[in-house]
Amino acid sequence: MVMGMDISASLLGVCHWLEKTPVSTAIRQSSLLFNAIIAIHTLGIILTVGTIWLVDLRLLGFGLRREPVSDVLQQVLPWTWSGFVVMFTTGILLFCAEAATVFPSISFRIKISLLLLAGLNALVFHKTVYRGASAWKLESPTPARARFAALLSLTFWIGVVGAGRAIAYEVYK
Amino acid sequence: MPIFSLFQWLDHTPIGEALRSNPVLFPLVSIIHLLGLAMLVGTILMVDLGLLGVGMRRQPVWRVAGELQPFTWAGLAVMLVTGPILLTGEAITMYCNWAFWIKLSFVALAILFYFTAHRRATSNTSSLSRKQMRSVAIVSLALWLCAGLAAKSINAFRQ
Repeated sequence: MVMGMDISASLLGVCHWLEKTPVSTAIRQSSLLFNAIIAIHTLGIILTVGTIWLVDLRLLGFGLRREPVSDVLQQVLPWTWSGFVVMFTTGILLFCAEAATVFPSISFRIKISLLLLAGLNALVFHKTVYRGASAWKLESPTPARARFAALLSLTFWIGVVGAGRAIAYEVYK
Repeated sequence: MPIFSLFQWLDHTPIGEALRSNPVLFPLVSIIHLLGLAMLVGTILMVDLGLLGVGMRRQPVWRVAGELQPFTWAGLAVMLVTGPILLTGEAITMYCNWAFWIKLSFVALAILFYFTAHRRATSNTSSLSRKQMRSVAIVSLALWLCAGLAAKSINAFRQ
């Protein structure tokens, strides 16, 4: 417990340092720059989350049922990653701008935890169930484990978006 | 000014008052609004990328569009329900915010475009050329992008 507090305190120290870097200061002091980065961040989220949901809905058998899972996933994945790069880069910038304010926020911590869980879930899915995807028949439902992974993914990403939005309400109001 | 009185009335509806008195309600509805947006624009984006020739290339665009349409509509429905609810929370403030009116105009244009030109370009009987399909995709993306940017600007132009 004491060690946990130590880590938290030193991380907060890092946050204070991050806030003082020239880039952070520039973003924080210009509301135009700050809002522009948030807008680009949102676009990245739409691309990432939109394409991930597409795959999830396909796995659950709700959408794109006439297309093979691997076909949907392969074609959508470059866009998921492009969105992720945009989301991640702008996310880091936004965090640095107000690191010490955002870091203690509960919404922020929930968001990061859910983001890690979503990543872990995707990694496990790709390394296990998805390996056999080429043998899945178009007319039968996907394996139960794949549907479970899709359900988790949907839930985690809804949580990431929700918690992310909540940061603004928790910190700025 | 009938529009102003309408906004005044919206502000005083029980929903508006509930949104203002309960600190959790407004953020909650706005999160649902955002999730609707991800679904609406996410699916339209995939179709537009298809029209541009850089999306799902192994399937015809009309088929992808047809399969995604229920989700686009569901996302739109969520937004059209949560949007006006959010408005009742701060109707007069929005009335005085010009970014709000710009957003509303772009949303109206984008929806109109979606149900007309976009719908035609993604039907399986579409006889549009590659170039025309590309133009439809670009206009669609531009309209939704402008709507989003104007929405983001609402906060920056609060008075």
